[in-house]
Amino acid sequence: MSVFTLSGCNSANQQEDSDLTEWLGESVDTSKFAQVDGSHRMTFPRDHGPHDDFMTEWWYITSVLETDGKRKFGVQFTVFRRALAPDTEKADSWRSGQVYMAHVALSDVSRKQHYDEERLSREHEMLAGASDTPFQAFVENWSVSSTSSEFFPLALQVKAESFTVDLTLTETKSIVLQGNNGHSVKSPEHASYYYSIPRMATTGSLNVGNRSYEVDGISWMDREWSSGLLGRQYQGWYWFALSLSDGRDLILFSLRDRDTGDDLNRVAQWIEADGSTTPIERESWSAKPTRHWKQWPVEWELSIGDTLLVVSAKFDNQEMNTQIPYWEGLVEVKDSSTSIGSGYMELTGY
Amino acid sequence: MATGIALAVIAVTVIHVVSHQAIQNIGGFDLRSDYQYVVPVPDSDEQQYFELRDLWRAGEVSGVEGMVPVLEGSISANGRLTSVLGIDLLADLNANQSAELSLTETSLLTSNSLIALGTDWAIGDKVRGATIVSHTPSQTNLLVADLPTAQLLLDRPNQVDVVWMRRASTSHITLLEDILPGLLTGLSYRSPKLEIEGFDVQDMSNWNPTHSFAGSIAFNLSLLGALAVLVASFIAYEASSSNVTRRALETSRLLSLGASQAQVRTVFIFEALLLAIVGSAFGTVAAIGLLQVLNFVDVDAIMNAFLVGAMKSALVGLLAFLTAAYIASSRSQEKPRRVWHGMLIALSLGVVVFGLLPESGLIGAFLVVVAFCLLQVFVVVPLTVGLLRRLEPLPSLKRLVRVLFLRLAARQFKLFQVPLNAFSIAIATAIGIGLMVSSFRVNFEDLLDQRIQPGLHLTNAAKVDVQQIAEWDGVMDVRPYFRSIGRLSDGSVSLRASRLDTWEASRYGYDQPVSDGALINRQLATRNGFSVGSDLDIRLSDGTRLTLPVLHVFNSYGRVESAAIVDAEIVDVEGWVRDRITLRVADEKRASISTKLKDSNPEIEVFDNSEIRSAALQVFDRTFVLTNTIAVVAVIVAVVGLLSSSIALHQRQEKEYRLLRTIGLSERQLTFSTIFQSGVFGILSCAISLPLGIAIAWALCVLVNPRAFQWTIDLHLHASPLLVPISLSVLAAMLACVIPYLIRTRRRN
Repeated sequence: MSVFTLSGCNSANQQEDSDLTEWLGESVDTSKFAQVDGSHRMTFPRDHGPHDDFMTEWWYITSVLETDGKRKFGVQFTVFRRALAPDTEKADSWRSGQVYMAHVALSDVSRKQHYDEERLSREHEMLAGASDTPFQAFVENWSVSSTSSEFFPLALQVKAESFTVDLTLTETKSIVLQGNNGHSVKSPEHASYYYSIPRMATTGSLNVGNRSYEVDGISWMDREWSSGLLGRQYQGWYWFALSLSDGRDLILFSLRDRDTGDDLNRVAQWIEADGSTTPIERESWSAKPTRHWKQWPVEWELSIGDTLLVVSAKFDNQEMNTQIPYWEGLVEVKDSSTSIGSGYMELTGY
Repeated sequence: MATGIALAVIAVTVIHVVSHQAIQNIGGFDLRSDYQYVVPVPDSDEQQYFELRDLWRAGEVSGVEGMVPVLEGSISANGRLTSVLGIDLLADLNANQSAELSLTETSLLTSNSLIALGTDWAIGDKVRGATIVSHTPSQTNLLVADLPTAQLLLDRPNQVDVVWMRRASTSHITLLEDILPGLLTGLSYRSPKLEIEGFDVQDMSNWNPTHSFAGSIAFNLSLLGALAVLVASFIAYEASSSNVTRRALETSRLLSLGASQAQVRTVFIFEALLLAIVGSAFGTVAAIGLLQVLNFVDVDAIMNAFLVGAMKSALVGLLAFLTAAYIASSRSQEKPRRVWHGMLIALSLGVVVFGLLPESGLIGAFLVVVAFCLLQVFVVVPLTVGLLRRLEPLPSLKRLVRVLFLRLAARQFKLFQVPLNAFSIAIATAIGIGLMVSSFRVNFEDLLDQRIQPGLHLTNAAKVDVQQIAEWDGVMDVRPYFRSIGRLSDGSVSLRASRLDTWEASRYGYDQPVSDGALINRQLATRNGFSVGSDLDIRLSDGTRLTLPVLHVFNSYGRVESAAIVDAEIVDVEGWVRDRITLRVADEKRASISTKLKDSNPEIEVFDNSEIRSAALQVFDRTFVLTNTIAVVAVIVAVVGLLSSSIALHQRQEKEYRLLRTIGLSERQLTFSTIFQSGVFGILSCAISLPLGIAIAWALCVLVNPRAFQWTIDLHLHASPLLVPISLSVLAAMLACVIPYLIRTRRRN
């Protein structure tokens, strides 16, 4: 999921007031962009690259990291692409018709510090862009890119004002096509092409406050592109990508109704240790917030069949103070009392 | 007292709003105002921009929060030279104005769209394939575009002229500028020097003369507004002081009942506070009315400025009044502290010396004016009062009475010393401003005489066939003028090319024909440090360079931008705009040629040069209406103070008048005595104001104007700016003194 799709939501909070949000969505006739009709068959490495004929797209990576001394960090890095208008031809290097935005955040668990920054740029070979072979998605010197002609390993490199990230990500599980072969229906009016790469082995270094940390851990990548906006009936969503210590991963999300707050489109799926997937019937799981920080539900009870998981923020203040505010942060997964995993949670429209 | 603060609040609020509007109107839509530094890009090579940006993103450039690449140039559109400003609207989303543009005018990013400033445009107009999507009336003729659109318009693909850089943490500076418009210009504020290896980082001020010009106007107005507060503070002091004296008995009773000095003082200050609040409220309401009279009726547009102005003026007024009340109540039991006077005199002299240094900038120039006022208060007025009090009585009764009257007048001076300070400063300011304006007008008229020769002036004349007109009967000379915009290493320059023969050169005060050199205006000389003999190295819009020696520096009053005049023969005027033509014609043929020109091409605008001259003078006079109004407000405030002091004085003098009646003076003689005293008071007040007025005029002409606007004014001591304020002030002073006497006399009868 991505904040870019927020543009159609009517949040009670700042989102609707944001000029940027308006710009991202309200003034565009989305029907003239390429549509997500399920006819697309995913092929790689082509689909790692940009799909300029669709309106929006993003490359989303989260990392759950730890030093040798068990100091925990989380990293979120997302590159968004947005076409300014349908059928825009690349007139010259300065006018491609595409805009890129990047968000980066670092969660320092032991200090309960959350750092976030954002950037926006027009597409230009010297400023921002994306390509499939060799793969890269970048906004100036924030990038995720292949280090060779193969897609893996990936290098995630960010020099933000308050921290730096230099990570290498390698594949451990294969690509997971979400929905029906990557055709992910979000609502009757909205669908996206969506795939994930869970549990990438990650190693590298972080620099925070003049201190360098060697870290390793796991990362999750989401790729999604579409042309539709979420309808006005949607308030926002919650989204979890969790990696359990038994080798399984769990993805779970739901859109919420603006008037009733009910979950309108709930999707959940197990990704087994061997990479195979098991969709979870919508009737067999539920998610219930149990604690809030500000407006954000930072602790949840997830009931999946007979399993009860408690998902709670590693620390509460992992709010993204970006042009479009949202909550995106590192979470811990427990069964009754034992920690059995970790991951990332995204909350919008609260 | 409440009236005094009300007038001060009116003056300061109105001046704040007017200053704010002046900056908005002159500075207008100014994307530069978000940025503090300019980095010229050598050869407009965009790679230099990317290198600079990479350095910044790598953390090698500290203190910079954002940067944008900019392309500037000019094109001929609608037959006029139009500046084009292209910036990457997505390069710095945290900059207020470019962000707003990119978010509200999205078509700027998606198609070849423009925002037009000026008077010649309408939404939907096409300019070289680009469409105007927004239009803002402005004095500046400018097309604003996203960078690629500007590159297309100027036919300069992949080029960047300069990079604007925005400093981190400038919110405190912005706040200061909101509270005191023009303050930064007055302080000659420059952003901290920034050095980036391999790049020439310059302060934005040279690249944005319009902003500095607007700031200078606002600063001048703000300081004149401060005058009203100063004068009102004197009144507050005087009112508080006489209140304390009048209630001496009440005070001593309170003290004997066990109240402390501090408690008594608190009572007086609290009363002053109440009066000041009432006065502020009244002043705020009156300011709204005055602003509407001044046609600032768009309440929404000025609301923020009005609120800031009203709050500022009320706060300043309250502070000034409370300070005055505190000093007055403290001094009631103390002797004057001569040591403080001495220190203030020394400080004032020091400030004068400091202000004379060119490095002290505009604030230094105004400090000189303030120091002159302080010297008036602490030297001139006390000396005058002292001299009068030293008059010895003479034996004869008639002379005794006269001297008695004189001594009473002298005593009046002593008692009136504080309002006299206010009154003399107000009159002196009125004289100073009047002299400055009249001197400026003389210089301006001289300039017009030199620059505007008899003949016809054509604008919108791009399609006029010069050769054909030259052959018309009665046409003695035809001169086309070409315009372009050039770039110096540290700023831009407006270029004009024409046939620079002796006649043309003499229009700029140079007595020889010019072929290989440039005449530059004083603004360019001052901003960029040029003088006669310096080399001008100008990059023209077509990328070519023009290097010329400076032959002469001329005055161009009222002009904001830097300008240079060159001979049309030495430049290729192909890409320039021929926007003006002047014709020298036989007097008897002037009307017929004018008609023939209009008939031949309805687009041409034909002006007789004498009309231009009178229009220019009208604009000049309108410009200084506000300045004169401020001086009048200050005088009114001072007269109000004088009146209230006079009422208090007459209450105190009642015993003396009874004594004079007892020794046989008739009511007529006493009335004469009062008028005599008032006359002496008024005349002497004006006499001591005269030197200060001339000194203020000198400071305004020689220090303030060159530092604010880069032009000098020759001081002329004209009679009318001296006599009008003096005679009105004598009359006002006499009325202020006589009216309370007449009221009391009528009541007694």
